[in-house]
Amino acid sequence: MPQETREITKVLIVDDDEVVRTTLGDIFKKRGYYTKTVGTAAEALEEVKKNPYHFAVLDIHLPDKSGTDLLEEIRKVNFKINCIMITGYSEESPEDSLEKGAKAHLTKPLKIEELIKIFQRETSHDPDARPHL
Amino acid sequence: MIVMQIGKTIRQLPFKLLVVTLISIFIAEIFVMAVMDYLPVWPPWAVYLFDSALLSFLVFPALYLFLFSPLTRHMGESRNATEVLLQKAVELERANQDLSAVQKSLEEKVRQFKETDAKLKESQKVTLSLLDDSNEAREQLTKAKEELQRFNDTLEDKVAEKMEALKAAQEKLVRTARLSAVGQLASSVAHEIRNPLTGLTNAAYFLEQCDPKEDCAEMKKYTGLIQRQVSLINQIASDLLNFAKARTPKKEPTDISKLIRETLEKFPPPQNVRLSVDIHKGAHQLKVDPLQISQILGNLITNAYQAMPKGGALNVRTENSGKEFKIVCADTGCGIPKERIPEIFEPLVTTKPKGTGLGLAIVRQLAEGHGGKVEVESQVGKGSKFMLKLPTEG
Repeated sequence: MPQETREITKVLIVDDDEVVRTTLGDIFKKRGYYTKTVGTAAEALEEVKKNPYHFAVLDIHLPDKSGTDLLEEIRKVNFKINCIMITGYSEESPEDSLEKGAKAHLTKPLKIEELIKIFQRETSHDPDARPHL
Repeated sequence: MIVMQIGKTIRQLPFKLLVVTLISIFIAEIFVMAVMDYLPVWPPWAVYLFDSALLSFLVFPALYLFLFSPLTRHMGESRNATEVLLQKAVELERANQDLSAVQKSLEEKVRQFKETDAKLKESQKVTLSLLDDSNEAREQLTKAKEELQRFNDTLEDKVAEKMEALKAAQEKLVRTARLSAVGQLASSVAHEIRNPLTGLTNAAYFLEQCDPKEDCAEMKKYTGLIQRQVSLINQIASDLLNFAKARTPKKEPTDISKLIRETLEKFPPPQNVRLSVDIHKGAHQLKVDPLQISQILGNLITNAYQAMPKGGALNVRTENSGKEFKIVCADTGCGIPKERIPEIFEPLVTTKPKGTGLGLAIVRQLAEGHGGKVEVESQVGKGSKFMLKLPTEG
């Protein structure tokens, strides 16, 4: 019986707060995901162009661009990326980002279990996107 | 006069001629009668001839004497009189000319007078019209005064009514503004606190996943991270309290150079930021509240670091002009748009994607509390220069 090979799930974390992105990166690494953390929208777009990420966790407030605009640009580069918006407080309603293709809109402080459930739900639809355990 | 005398002479002429003729005939007849006897007998024609010659001899001198002489005299007088008359006529002509000139002048005066009269009449019309207008205006003024009086009578009531409405509107506005400010503050504070809270919850989750035996180093790293996040939340709370409750500075003689160095040590630069310090050598005493000045510098330095996420340089220097001591923080960060510079010292205003917008408001508040001020020069893409100016005689 041939051994099933699955690609490691790649997660891009975009947040200008270093602590938030570092801790999220450490958590996902520990859970077996490939993670990359960046602090600006420009860096995020470069990464998306270089690597076929499965997930992107995007902060709404970024120094160079709003997370919602970044979401649209990322989906133009890679339509398959599952984007999850996170925010401390935003006047933008969750519906805005959901309409633009986000899978979820979460408020800080994050409930990691909730985030992982979303990952699991989406990876169950996409057999290629599974954590490498 | 002369003409009259000539006329008189001519009128008396037949009478004189008659008298002279009769007298001459009488004398000639007497003479003939007297000599006839002594003369030879003459023929009648000789007697007549002699008689006529004698008569002529008597008549012509008499005529000259009585008639021509006065006539000649009168003619001379007449000539003189004519000359006088001519002279008078010349004078009269001159007088006539003068009179014509005077008449012309008078006519001109009359014309001018007519023009003036016309103008006067026109002016009179205008004056009358003005008078009419004036009367109309007076009537309107009277009406307006009456209206004003009526309005004044009710003004106090209206003012009281409006004041009440204004007060209510003002209270509503204050309530709305307060709610708006509270809402704005709450949203920015929530945003600022939720980041370190996220760090804390993430750290807690991560620690839960760790095996104390295997992940000791990572667990240690995360305990330090937790402490930093708690400090950050505490700093936000302090900022809020400091801003809400303005403290009077507790001024004391302070070595300002030492204070700046100590503050810089508390805020070490990120790895990609080069810090340079140009502070006057030796102790420089200023009467300030060291805690507050340290807080001002801390806020300015933190802002500078945050303005250079991709690295840069921060220069902190001091300048002393005698009356004023200046602390300058110049960074090579992203800069502040020109149109936003006037508002950056207002509370709850921030040019950063994250921040409560209280840092610079506190800086200004504390600087003004010291009798100083804070100024900024900035250029987008090149950097910002914040200058804290403190009076040297505190």
